[in-house]
Amino acid sequence: MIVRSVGLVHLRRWLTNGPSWNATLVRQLRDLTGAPVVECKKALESCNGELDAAKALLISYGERIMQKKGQRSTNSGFIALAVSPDQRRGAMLELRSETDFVHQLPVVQRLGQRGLELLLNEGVVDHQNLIWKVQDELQSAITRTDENITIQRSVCLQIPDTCSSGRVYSYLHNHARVGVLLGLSAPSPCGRQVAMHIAAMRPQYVSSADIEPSVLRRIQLGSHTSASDARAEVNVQKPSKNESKARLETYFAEHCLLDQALITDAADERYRGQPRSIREALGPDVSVFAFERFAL
Amino acid sequence: MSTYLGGMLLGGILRRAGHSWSSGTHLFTRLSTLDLVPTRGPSDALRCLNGLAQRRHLVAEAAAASAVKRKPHLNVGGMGHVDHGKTTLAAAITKVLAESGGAKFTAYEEIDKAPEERARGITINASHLKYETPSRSYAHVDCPGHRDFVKNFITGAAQVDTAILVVSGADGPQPQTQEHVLLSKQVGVPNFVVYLNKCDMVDDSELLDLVELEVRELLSKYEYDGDNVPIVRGSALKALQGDQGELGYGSIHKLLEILDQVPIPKRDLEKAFLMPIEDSFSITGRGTVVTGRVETGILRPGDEIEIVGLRPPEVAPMRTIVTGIETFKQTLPYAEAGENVGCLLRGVKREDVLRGQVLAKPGTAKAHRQFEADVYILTEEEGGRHTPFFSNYRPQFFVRTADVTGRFILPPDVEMCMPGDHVRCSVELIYPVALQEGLRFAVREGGKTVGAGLVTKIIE
Repeated sequence: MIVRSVGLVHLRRWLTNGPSWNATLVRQLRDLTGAPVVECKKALESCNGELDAAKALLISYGERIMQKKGQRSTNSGFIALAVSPDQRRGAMLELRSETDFVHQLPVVQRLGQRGLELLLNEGVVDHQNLIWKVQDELQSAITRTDENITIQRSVCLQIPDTCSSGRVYSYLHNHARVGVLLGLSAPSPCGRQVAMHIAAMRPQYVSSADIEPSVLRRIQLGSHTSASDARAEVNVQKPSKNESKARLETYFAEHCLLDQALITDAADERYRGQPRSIREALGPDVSVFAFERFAL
Repeated sequence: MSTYLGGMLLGGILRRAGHSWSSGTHLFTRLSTLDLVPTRGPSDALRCLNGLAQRRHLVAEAAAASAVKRKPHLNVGGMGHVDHGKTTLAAAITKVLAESGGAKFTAYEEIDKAPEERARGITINASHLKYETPSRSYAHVDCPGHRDFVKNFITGAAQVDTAILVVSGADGPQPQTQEHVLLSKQVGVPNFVVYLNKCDMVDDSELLDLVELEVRELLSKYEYDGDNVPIVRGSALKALQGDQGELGYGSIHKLLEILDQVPIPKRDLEKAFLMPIEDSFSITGRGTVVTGRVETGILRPGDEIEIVGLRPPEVAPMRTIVTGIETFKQTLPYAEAGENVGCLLRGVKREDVLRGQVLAKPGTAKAHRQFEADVYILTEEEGGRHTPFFSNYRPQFFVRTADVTGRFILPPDVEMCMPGDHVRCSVELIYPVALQEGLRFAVREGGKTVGAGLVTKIIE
């Protein structure tokens, strides 16, 4: 019925105004480019009804839209990640848009996939370079959705060649709101669980050895939460040895991955009430190279 | 019976006031709004309740008067692309209706920058507008985003009886418009009205015909009646600028006329009688009295009712007759949805009834143990958990007045559920309770609310 109606519109147009544009052509051009109807009509008019020429003309419309929308804030988004088949590399990026209605659209998903491909297979690790290389996909996504879309950040996690047994594990949380890449020195049955743990428990460091000495000193003094750390350092009385040790232990258990209790053990009958630390769960032969956690 | 009931109802109120999530605070807040219960505390409430007994007839009269005047109400949701003019349309509606006294004009900026609201500890990201036509009152809410909308839907913060799909006539539907329609389908929006905005920017009506066709096609694709959906052509901006023409004020009037014709969903009073039991008492020589707030329908003395829930599935629900209805030392000819009452039940022992069961018109309510639900898990800032949970998590489920332990069974593709997530999962309760699709419930753990849910499908 709809095709027939479009046909009628077409016919009426043809009889009254001549052949420079008609509803069917506008529809075809819209399907090809995703541009607004008024822009499609203008393009067809200036190209005398030539579909291909009009399509080429609309590229400049895409550029205009990109410039126009480019400054608008992107408050929504999703995380895309991929791991190479040999589990030696992992890539992750955060894509942002104005609303979350666009996340599932093929044109936006394609942009994410292209970005991951560049990171993973073509070794484009520089963020600016990556954005430059996905310009075509980005423009097509912005034109189609008529929203500002950006790639906020990207990362590539690679196991060094010196560690032949190293593996990358990943976890993407419900609705792609949180993504984690985790590099281990050897395969581990707990790899994915640890990635899930990182998503949920937000560790800041791999181990206490990664914490800067100045931060450690503030933790010992109990002033690490204070905004004016420097002044606090002067005013706070020196705590006893036991006190500072307890403070450090609490801080490590909260912020250092290896000292945290594995969260998935809470759902495991075997460890209920006695969860293992990540260090115990991974065992002595597996060490953590690095992890990356993206969250919206 | 009368002397007992005042105290019982007060007891019920005080008990309920402790549950921040229970619907029980209703009476307390209702009394406060009537200036009968000051905010000073329960002992004042007691004194005020005594006064209330005398003043109730005044309140009843006022209520009767307001019931006569009250117009049918419809919840409207604005949906559409960020740039197609949802907010401008909402502002234009208030402007047009402000002239007839049916709304307070709310400028675009005020709607757009509406502060985050907090209700029941859950942050709500939606701006509400109220307006009324000569025949109806409306609550208008703009749909901010998929995630926010689903959250508002689950928690009951924003309900939509009909959606206005705003599509720019100059642009046509965008690919994400289908996501809007899909979302409406998901949350069960029954009707659509389409407002074709920015028609002043299109000089050719055949282009608008094309856009209309695309919109109809899209709605039909998602099983809405695309061929017959009302489409209004106009320009919200022109209306906002005071243009009295067809595209300006004319289009807003036409839109409101259509909204006035949208069928009103069944309201609580028209549904079958149901009252969750808050408490039960035995009165020597009279029998057992149960108290609670009537959720739906009307109950008259002599009506037969069933007591449903918290019994093994093989035991049929107990049936009995309501021999008397009272509230605040007064015998009532009937009780209706929204009222707090005590019901005297014939031949029922006190130990036969429990808090959490419901009184219902026979055959209308059934107890179930397993159901599917949409659940929103509160973030730590909203007072919820700070750690994730996994399948088989066993919190308490507060379904009406019932407080039952149950377990979550997460779908196979969801390994973990974190605060801030919404998830569609199944729930298995340890006892059957009266349930139906569309019922909202709270998930609590260790005395705090950790989630809010909505029953989507009964399994068993």
